[in-house]
Amino acid sequence: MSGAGSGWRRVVIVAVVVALVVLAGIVLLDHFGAQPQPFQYLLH
Amino acid sequence: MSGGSRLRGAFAAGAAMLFGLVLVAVLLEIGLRVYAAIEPNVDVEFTRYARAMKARTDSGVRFLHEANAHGHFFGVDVDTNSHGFRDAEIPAQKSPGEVRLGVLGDSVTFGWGVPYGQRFTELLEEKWSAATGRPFVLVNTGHGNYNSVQELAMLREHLADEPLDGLLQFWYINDAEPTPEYRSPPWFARSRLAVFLWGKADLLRRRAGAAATFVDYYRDLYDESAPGWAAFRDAIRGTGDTARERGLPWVFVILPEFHGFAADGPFRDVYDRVARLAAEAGAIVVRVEPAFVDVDPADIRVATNDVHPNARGHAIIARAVAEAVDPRLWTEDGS
Repeated sequence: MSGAGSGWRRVVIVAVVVALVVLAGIVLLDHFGAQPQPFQYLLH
Repeated sequence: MSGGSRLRGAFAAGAAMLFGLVLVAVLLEIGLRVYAAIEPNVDVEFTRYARAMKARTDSGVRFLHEANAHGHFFGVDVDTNSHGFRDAEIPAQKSPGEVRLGVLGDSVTFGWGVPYGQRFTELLEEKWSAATGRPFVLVNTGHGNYNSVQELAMLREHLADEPLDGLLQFWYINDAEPTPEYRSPPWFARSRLAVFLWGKADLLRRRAGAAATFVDYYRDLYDESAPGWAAFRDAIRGTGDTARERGLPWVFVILPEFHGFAADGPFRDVYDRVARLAAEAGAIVVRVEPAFVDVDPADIRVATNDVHPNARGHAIIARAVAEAVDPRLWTEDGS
């Protein structure tokens, strides 16, 4: 594979890993971190 | 390296970075849509509810549900009648013997996450109809995010011609929030990623001490200098005035804050103060929080991330109100 091709593949792998880490963080906060919030909604 | 190839290299790096960021956003959007479909999230569901059901109005309530609308939020069907209330269609005239009560409240009264038929209003209809032998109809006007000022506007502007025999108001601790200016949903409200990031950033700010915790946030609403306090106090007095003018017995129910129910919890003095204010305004005050003292909050929430009471919570509220209020209060002849 060319250098450019492996560069793009690296970008995709990093993006997938970052997305999974952020997703896991959001899911964990959703399950274990909801207590301190009042009712306060994004839209009124 | 020549200047041209350096430029090409920088451009390629920038394009890769941009592509990577877009890819992360797209993957997160897909992932969060799948997650939110499996596990309903309060921020996402309330945003969907606002976008699909709420419409701006020039009256004092600021917004109403769309009339005759249908939606599915937090796992339950939501249908509105021709008035925009989550309720059955209410005939303009009462049926013979009918006792009709106006019910004022917010998302708790609306029955967020609770199927129609299992909310405290339907349960009270059943209990009081059985107790008196007369059909009770409770007109549930609950809207998510209403405060006491909007509930007074609902009574004065939208229930003015309703042939009511009484008034039932359900207070929750955020009812002294300043009246929100209704705004059209921004474009990013469609994005699960934007909604989750907003919600979790808010959560982390509170955990880190950069924003008030729910205890401080709620307690501060009842400070004499709080932006919503004077309007809240005037709204309670105004509700009392309107009820008196129309000859409507007014029951004011103090709901507990649903994060915890300890008898020595952080909001006891707020409950006492609001109860005094409502009583001085002419309300028959019913305090529901003692009925929850031995209840595990986790058992009566609609979800881990949402403390609205579930059907079990609604049943406890209905039982407590039914035990405290003699339904003959509402009947013209006391029968």
